[in-house]
Amino acid sequence: MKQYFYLEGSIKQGPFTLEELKKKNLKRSTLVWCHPMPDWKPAGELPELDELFSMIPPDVKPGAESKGRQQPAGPTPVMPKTWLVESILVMLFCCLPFGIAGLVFASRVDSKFYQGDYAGAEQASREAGRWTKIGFWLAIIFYIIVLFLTLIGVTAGIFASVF
Amino acid sequence: MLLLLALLILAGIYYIFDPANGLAFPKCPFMMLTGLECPGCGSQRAIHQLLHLNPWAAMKENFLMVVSIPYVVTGFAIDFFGTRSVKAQRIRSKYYGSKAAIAALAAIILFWIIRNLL
Repeated sequence: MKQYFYLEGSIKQGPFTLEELKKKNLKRSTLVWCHPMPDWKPAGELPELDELFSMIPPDVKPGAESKGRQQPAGPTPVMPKTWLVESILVMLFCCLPFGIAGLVFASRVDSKFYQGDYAGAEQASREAGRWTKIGFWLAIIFYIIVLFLTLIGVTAGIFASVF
Repeated sequence: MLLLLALLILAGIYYIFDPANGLAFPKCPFMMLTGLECPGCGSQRAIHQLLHLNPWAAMKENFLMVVSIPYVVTGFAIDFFGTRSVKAQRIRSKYYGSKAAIAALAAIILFWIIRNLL
């Protein structure tokens, strides 16, 4: 009786007989090995497992129908995050220059995306995110410093009035 | 969850204390340096007024911030819940795209100039 192994992620499972293996809910892409084979092979390529997949159509290879595009997620690339709303918030609550930078890049994300420049859109999205985050953390730090100074001031005031 | 808690605590602080006469609230660096108001000046006072359900007083403090709240909330809602909805994505590409970013920039700069002239 042939002994089969298969890979669950990178963890080897087995040995199983062919009958046991067939109950393991294998996918076409699951890597399988048995003795005379030189290397692991996708289950879909083993003739003895053929009947398992007779009712399952082959996996759609990511990017197969959208060759050359940056987004492997499917036929239509996903618009990267524009950070538009976040930039506006940063502008209204703290750090004007960072918000402006964020907004400028936010507008580029969108226009580049619709020109088909997906890599450029991704790039602009990262830039917009960076400026917005810098602004956000600066705001937090600024607020904490002010709060801290006030606490010192208040305690000092209390001490001054007590003693 | 943590974010929600932080927001609640912040809302509580802004409800109880009025930034208009409190020292504990951060002052605008642009205001301190130039004596002019930046587009964000008055946002904290406006939040205080909004939490006390005084939208008109809030608008006096920072008109732009108050009117942008519905837009900002909608934008966040689309980002969080509407990523799979075709309709939400259509709204997104129409009102939250590059033209919207330029319009927002223009609105903020215009507001900045006007509020210092009036």
